[in-house]
Amino acid sequence: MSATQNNTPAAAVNRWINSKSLAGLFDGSGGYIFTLVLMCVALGFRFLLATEDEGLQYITFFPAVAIAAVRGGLKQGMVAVFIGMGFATYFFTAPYHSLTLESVFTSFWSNVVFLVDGIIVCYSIESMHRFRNQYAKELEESKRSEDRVKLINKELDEFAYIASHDLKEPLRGINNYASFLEEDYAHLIDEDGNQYIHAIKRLSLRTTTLIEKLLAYSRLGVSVIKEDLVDLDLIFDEVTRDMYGPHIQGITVKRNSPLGMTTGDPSCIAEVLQNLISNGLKYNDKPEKRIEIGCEASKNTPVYYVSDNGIGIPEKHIDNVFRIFKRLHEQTKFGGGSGAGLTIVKKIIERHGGRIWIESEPGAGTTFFFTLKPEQMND
Amino acid sequence: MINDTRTILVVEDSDDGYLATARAFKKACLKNPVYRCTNGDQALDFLFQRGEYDGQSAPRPSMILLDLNLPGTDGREVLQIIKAEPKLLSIPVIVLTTSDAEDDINRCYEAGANSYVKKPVGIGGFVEAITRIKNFWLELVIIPKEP
Repeated sequence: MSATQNNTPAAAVNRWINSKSLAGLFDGSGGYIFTLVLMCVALGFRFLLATEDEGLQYITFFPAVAIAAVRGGLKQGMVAVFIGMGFATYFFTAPYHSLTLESVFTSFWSNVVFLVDGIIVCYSIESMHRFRNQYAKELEESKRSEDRVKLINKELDEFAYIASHDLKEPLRGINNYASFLEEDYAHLIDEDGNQYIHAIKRLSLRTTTLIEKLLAYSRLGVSVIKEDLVDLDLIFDEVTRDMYGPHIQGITVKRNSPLGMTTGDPSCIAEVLQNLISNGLKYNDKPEKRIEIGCEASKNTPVYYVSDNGIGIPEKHIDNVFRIFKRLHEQTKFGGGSGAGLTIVKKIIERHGGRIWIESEPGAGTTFFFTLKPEQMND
Repeated sequence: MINDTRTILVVEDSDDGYLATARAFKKACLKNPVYRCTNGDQALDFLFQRGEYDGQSAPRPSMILLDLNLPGTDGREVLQIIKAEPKLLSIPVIVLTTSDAEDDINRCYEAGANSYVKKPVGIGGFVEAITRIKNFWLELVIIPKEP
């Protein structure tokens, strides 16, 4: 991400041109001396090329005019043109090596053509200069605002991390004291009171879980995502083995096609699969719960899917499922949960440069599609 | 091999946290003398027997329970200093913290922590953890005598 200094020769030349053209565009004396020297070199060439009456002077001067304009824009280019006109009239128009009324008249029309050509070329080059400067400025501006967004995001992640970490301590205290109260004084408090103590413990535990999820989520934003070569089939095998063992009554987790290799963070990717599969089984009211997983490798960027025959997601809630702590069901339904699973899944996928989307039919099932790297333009 | 005379140093800034630890010690039937420091600098003074401490008020502990997030010099730094000091490095340091950040775990073991325990949520789990620490570090393993 960071702008490292590029040290190839091409980059060095580029830097040189940049510094010259930007500095020479509006500043004075250095540029004029350069232009004068340039024209004198062209003049020398012209003398070497042919005798004074051969008439090749404008063609010889023109490259010098173009170079002066490239380096210093319209102003320097025009100075070169006028110097060229002077040289042509003085040295290369009869009676050669003198400035007379006759030589001025003789070279007039050639000079006019040279001047017009010079104006057109210098103006074009100047326009390109302006365009490039403006482009550079816009690029810098967009980079600056991009940096700012990144900084804000990073600060937000750090804030969430610190806040959630510091919130855990006092919560632990509340839970502990409620436990002490229960252990030491339960016999002095009536049943209602004991119920309240229970509620304090239950709620502080739930808050702790929420904070831990928030912490895990914000940590994903600041931590480095590994770029290992990952065997997705192996990860799938491990995840399903850890979750269910080989056979569990009423549950089928089927792989339709090999998932193949990718690059990424193995433990994060395992978390994605684990979350999607367990969600598919959790939000499922069928007696035979089915999960199908596979990969559509026909496109340049493989698209993976995890599909279930669960309860489905109503159209209007599709976007809500990724919102942190947003649950679509009451705490007591479908085994509860913190409501952070899919948010974490989305964050992991986005940190890998991929995206996730959903197709769902309420009552029939849901399919999660995702990629694990940036999609290519020609997909 | 139960040894009730070996001292334990607990480095814990929060009084509430320490109260829970002390209670868990009691529940785990741990009768060893316990010393407590509330921040990193105090813990280092205790271990090096300097400042307000001398050989009398600060015996060399047989085990250190170290919290990571401490005011001032924090636990990570304390751990590094202990493990860089030849006279102290043989004392087992058990990191006992709420953090389960991978970075903390890696860095503590790299610095030479003898084990890393995440404080379980809920007092039941915490008592269980302290009991197991006691069973392992004070009963099962053999710790070197003072060099």
